[in-house]
Amino acid sequence: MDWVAPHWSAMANLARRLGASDTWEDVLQDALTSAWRNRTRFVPERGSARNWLLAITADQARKSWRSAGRRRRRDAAFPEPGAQLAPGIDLDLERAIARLPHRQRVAVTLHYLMGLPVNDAAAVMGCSPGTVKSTLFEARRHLRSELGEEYR
Amino acid sequence: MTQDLESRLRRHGEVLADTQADPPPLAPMIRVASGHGPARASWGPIALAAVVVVVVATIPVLLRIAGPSSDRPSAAPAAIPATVTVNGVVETLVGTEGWTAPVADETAPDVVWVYAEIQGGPSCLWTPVPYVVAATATAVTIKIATYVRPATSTTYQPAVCVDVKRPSQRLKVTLGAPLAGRKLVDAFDGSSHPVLDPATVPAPTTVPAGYVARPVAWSSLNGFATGFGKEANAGIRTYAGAAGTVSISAGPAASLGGNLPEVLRRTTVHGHPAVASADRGFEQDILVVWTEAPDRAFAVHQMSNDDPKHPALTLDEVIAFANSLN
Repeated sequence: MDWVAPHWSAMANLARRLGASDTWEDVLQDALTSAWRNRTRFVPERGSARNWLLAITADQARKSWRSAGRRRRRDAAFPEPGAQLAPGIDLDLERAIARLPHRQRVAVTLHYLMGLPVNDAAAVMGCSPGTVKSTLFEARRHLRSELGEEYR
Repeated sequence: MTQDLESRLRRHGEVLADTQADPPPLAPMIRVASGHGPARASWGPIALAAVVVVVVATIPVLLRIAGPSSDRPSAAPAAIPATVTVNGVVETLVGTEGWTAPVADETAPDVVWVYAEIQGGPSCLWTPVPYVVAATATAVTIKIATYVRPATSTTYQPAVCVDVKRPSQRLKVTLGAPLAGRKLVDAFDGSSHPVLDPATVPAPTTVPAGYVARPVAWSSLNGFATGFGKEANAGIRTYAGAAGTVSISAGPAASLGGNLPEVLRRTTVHGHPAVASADRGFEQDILVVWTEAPDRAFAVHQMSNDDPKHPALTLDEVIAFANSLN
C-alpha cells in the first residue's frame, strides 16, 4: 500500500479532528482496513487516492460517533479529558467547531483546517461543490452565532 | 463585533498544521489492515448473526405493534409486511425509525411528504417504507418501517456509504383522504409535527433558464433557513441549475438574521427596503433579505457552483428574481 503513505498524515489529522480523543486511532485503523479490503474498487480516473482515503476516514469517524451513541455526540465536551492541545490554539473556535453538526464539522475541517479546495472537499464528502459551499455557509453562521459575531 | 471569521478559521488551520503531532507509524497498521498483524477482534460477523436472530424473534412483535388495536381506532391501518421487494431484491423488516419535517403536496390534498431519519445502519443499505397505521377524525399516524438487503459479501461492507452527508430520505405518504386540520403523528415516538403548506413560500413568476424546482421543505432539514436565525424554522423553495441554486425562504420577521459581512447593495423588493450581501471571498453567493410584515420576512439566497462554464446569476438578476416572487 505504497500509495497510502503520502496521504497517511492527512488521514491521521482527519481522524484526530473528527474522532473522539480515545478512539481516533481506532478510526484510523478501521479506515486503513476498509481501504485495504476495498482497494480494487478504487478507480484513479474517478478521483485522487487522497480524496478516496479521506472519504473513508471521514466515514469511519461518523460510524465511530454513531456507535458511541447519540447522547455522547450531542453532549460531547471540549476539550475532552486527556486531550492534548497545541500551544497557541484558538480554544473558543475549537469549542465552537466541536459543537457543529457532524457534516458541517467535516466541511470546516476539510476546507479551512486542512486547506482542501471546495472541489476536493466535495469529492471527499461525496456531494457537489455547491453542497459543500452551502454546508460551509451554514457552519459559518453557526460559528458566528456561537462566537457572538452575528452580523446585523 | 465584526471579526473576520474566514481569516480566523484559516489562521487556526495554520496553527494546527504547525503543531500537529506525527501520525502513528504506518507499517504496523498496514499489517493489521492486511491481516498479517495482530488482528483486533472482529465483531462484524457476530453482530450480523445477532441481528438476524433478533430480527427473526421480533418480527411477530413488530407486526403486533404495527397492526390495528382495539384502543386505537383506525380507518384503514396498514399491516407492516415482513418483507418488501426493492429492485428485485427481497428485503427484510428490521425495525422502525422516526420521521420529520412533513410537507403537504402542492397538488394532491391527500398526500404528504415526510423525511425518514435513519439511524440504525448504513443508509445505503436500509430502505425506509412509510405506512399509515392509524387514521382518526383528529390525527393520522405514520410509521416508517425499515428493511435491509440480505447480507452478502458485496453489500454488507461497502467502502464508503457516502454517509458523511446523510440526507434524510424524502418519502411520499398517501393518506387516503385529505389531512385537513388533523394532526400528523409519528408512531416512532408519538410526537406530532406541523405540516408545511408550500403555498406559504412564494414562487417566482419567472424561473431563470436552466433552473429546476426542488421540493419545498422545512429549513430544519438542512440546519436553518439562509437569512434567518438558526432557531427559525422557515419554509424553503429552491431552484437548482448548473450554475448553482437559488432559494427563497419565508418566516417571521423576528427570526430574520440580518446581513452577511459584505453589503453589496441596498435596494427595494416589492417596494420594501432590502439589503443584498455576501460572505467575504464568496461574493457570488448573494443573500437578499427584506421584511413585508411582522409575520412575513423573506430571504433569497444564491449558492453558486463557481463554475466558469456556468456563470451564476448577477446581483441584478438575483434582485430581479426576488422582485418576481408572487
